[in-house]
Amino acid sequence: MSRHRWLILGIWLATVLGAVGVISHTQFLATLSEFFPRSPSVQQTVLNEQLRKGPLSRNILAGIEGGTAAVRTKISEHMVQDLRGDDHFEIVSNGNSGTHEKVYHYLFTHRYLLSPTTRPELFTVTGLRDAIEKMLNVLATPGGEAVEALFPGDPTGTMVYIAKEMSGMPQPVPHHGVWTSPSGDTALLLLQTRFSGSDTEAQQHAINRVREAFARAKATTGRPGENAHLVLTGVGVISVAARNTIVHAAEFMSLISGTMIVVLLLLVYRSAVALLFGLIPVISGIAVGIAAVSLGFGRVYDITLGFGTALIGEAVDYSIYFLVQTGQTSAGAEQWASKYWPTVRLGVATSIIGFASLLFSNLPGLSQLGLYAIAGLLTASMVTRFVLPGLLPGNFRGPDLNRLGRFFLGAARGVASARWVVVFFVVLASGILIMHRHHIWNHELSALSPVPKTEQSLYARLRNDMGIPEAGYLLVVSGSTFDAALQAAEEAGPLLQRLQREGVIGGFQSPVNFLPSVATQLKRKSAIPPEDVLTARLTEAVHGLPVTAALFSPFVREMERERGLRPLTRADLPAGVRELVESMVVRQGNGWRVLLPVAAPPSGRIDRKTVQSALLRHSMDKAMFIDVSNATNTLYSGYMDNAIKWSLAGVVGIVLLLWVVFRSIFRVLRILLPLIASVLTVAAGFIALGVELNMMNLIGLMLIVAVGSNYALFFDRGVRADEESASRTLVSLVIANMATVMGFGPLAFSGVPVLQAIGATVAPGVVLALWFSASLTDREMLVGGKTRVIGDGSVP
Amino acid sequence: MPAGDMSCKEWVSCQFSIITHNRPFYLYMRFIVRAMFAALFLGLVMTLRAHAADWDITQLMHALAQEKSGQTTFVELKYISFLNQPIKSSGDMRFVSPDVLEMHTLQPDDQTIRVRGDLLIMDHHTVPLEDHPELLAFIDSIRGTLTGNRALLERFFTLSLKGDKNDWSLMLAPSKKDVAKLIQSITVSGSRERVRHITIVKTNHDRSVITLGDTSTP
Repeated sequence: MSRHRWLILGIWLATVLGAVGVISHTQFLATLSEFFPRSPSVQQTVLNEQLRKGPLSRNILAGIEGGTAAVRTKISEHMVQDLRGDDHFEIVSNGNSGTHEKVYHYLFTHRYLLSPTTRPELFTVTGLRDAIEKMLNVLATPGGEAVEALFPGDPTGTMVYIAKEMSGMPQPVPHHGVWTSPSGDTALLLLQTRFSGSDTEAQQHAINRVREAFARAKATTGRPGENAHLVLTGVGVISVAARNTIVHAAEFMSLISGTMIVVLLLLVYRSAVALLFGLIPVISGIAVGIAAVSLGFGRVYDITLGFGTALIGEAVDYSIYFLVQTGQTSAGAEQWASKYWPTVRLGVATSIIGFASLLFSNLPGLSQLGLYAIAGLLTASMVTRFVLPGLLPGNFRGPDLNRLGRFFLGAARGVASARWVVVFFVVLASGILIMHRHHIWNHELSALSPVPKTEQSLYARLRNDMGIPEAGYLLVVSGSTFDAALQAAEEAGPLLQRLQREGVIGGFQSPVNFLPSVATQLKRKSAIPPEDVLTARLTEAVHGLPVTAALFSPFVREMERERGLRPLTRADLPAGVRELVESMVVRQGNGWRVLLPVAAPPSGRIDRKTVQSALLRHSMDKAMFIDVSNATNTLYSGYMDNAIKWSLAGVVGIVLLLWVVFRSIFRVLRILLPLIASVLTVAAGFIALGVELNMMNLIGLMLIVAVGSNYALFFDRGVRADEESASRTLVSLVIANMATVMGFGPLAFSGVPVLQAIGATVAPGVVLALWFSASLTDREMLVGGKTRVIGDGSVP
Repeated sequence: MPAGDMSCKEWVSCQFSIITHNRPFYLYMRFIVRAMFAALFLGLVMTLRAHAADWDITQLMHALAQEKSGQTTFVELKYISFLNQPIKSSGDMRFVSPDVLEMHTLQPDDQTIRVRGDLLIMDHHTVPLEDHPELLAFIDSIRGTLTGNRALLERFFTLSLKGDKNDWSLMLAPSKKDVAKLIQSITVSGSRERVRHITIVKTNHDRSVITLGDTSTP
């Protein structure tokens, strides 16, 4: 031992220092992206890319509530004026904005390049005559005054055509001059930041600006505006909120758990030295765990650190076993290694198998937790076994826990003589589960969202108020260059128009309405005749019509001007239009994708198959039609299947390990029985409380088996020993159990649903596991007094 | 993808909301609505209501206070300065008490415009009248007429009645700035209980003359 002592200490020190070195270079992230899938389909990639960096992630929806309608309108207008000049935002709109006029101006001054009606046929004598006659009819019809001002500059009705092309998509309705919720209680603003929603720092700044602008606007309204308040939502806002929640959870839960565990250990050990030794394995484990995640994933999510609290509770168990079970003899350490270590080792192995199932989750956040736990537990147990004995001073004595031990022994005997309680629980739990067998699993993915429920519902409400439909569809086409992508979108146009006429879709939006491909623009330019030709044809065309050709000189001038323009590029787009186009044409790897939003017809649903077969018929097999809500559902069932698969694999792995070690079905069953009973009871408890189980609860149930198996193993290995070591073992189990509860328990209050579900499942589960294990243990071990006791860990 | 559950959908929704910036056509709607309804609603109301024997405004209003529904044909001639000749449209008009007015144009194009309550619907566009205070003023003043509320009518127009029972004309001169910016005057003329013409003269001197056919009461 002493020969290796320095070597072991050296390895340990080097490992810990190395880990600290890695951590100091680690990038810590607090974003939502840890819950985006890692190996999604192409369609999901498109969506996720948009979620993280797309224009949606840059949107902030603001609602002004309280006060009178006049006050809200005033605040809304004031805020828009205020924020327009702010360089945090690309778009600031309340429905009454100058953006409309800017967009209109751009469309109007490029109308012949932008309109698909610009074809050579239109500018023949007959074409011109037909078009002018049509416009005269529009003029004559009631309401025709709308086009009166346009007529001399646009006798062919190009602008009317462009405007009509753009209808058919859902729109919010302005009231009192600004966007207002249908209930009339909320004035609405739409802001788009310059930064992506995942840039939480920048989003935080933008949010602050909006709040400040609101405060200033509110101040101008005086008394009537006193009750007005601002609500903000959007991906960026939610990211910021979620980050704050996660960081809060990570910091405060660690603090709470850590403090509780330290107090517990101080109470038990009554020695600062013992406490210090007790924490060495945990701290080593945490350091190595974080370093392992950093090395394995390249970065560490804050949520992983949050989960560290649970790890503290689990890893501290090993040193508790060691320090409590070693007893007060100096030879204790050697004895512990031979007597108890094999049981602890097996417990470590079962826990690791359990956590390993997280490692294979397709949520990167969860895999990190898995790796963190495995590396941490391995390190903590190794340090306990090999480093701690070498570190202990020769005169170190474990705490005197005889009285506590006798008490627990008595309690254990009591519990063991009341097995009917376990049976009762199992029967009751099974009954509840069978009764509610159709309502056990929660199929809403949002149940797992790190976004608080209130934020989710606010987002849904404001979106609804804006008249933005809940479900959506996308047609995605791609090209190797920006322009090639636009061409692909142009090809999709006629097909979508036909589907719109057939009523399959309600409408669609395309970037080529604002920026056609270069080839198309050149084609349209070449369709425009030179000035003299056009004038001559016009003169001929208006014969017999109540107009003279001279009226149309603005038209002739505009045609000549647009004929001379060089093709429009992205750089020519004015603010407002540029964002619109860039929101639909996005870079993807080496190429570009165009995402055309497609609206549902009045029936509310688009038949996916009809669209897909139409795409195939037009040999547009590379285009993807994405039903967004459906894609999300598919995604969820993928997660659920994955979670069930790996959780079962974890349990099967534990059973196999136990069978390999014991070679006895009976013993494996006896170890698993209390664990199964706990799992059933916890699951039934959730159902009885009206909480449906989600994927994280499922993982929590598996962790009950992984963690609880430690206790079951100690109770299983009953061999002859004295009452003192029996009571010590019991004390160590109870303290370890309490520490685990203190580790997992606070997660239940973390405000992060993923952690909450795990915490709320594991904490009660391990308590039950200990109780049921004690209850179902071989009664002679406890009742037989001096002859048979629990917890001697000799190899079977 | 927990956060994504909502966000996926939102991404698309966001596109929709941006699209709402593009409503150039809508910008023109204000004008139509103002010009048209000032004339037509009043004219129709007059047509349907003009039964009084003695032509002073009070009596006219009194006659109008009786609620009725009805329909008639119309022909509209527009005199636009840049056109050599007037251009013509024709169709049916219908009024359903208390607040529905429908105008169904048959020539030269088929088109229906409908006002119901505070909403105007045209070509699937819905225009809430409350967004157009000047228009709302019109409509409300017409509702004032419907209920024989002369005071309400005079909040927006200065009324003057000319001629005799067999050849009368009621002139409405806008008294509010919003309206006066666009409309110079509206003249409703007729003989006895029949309204024959509604003439709207705009501030740019373009004018529109609507001739109404016989009224039938369904």
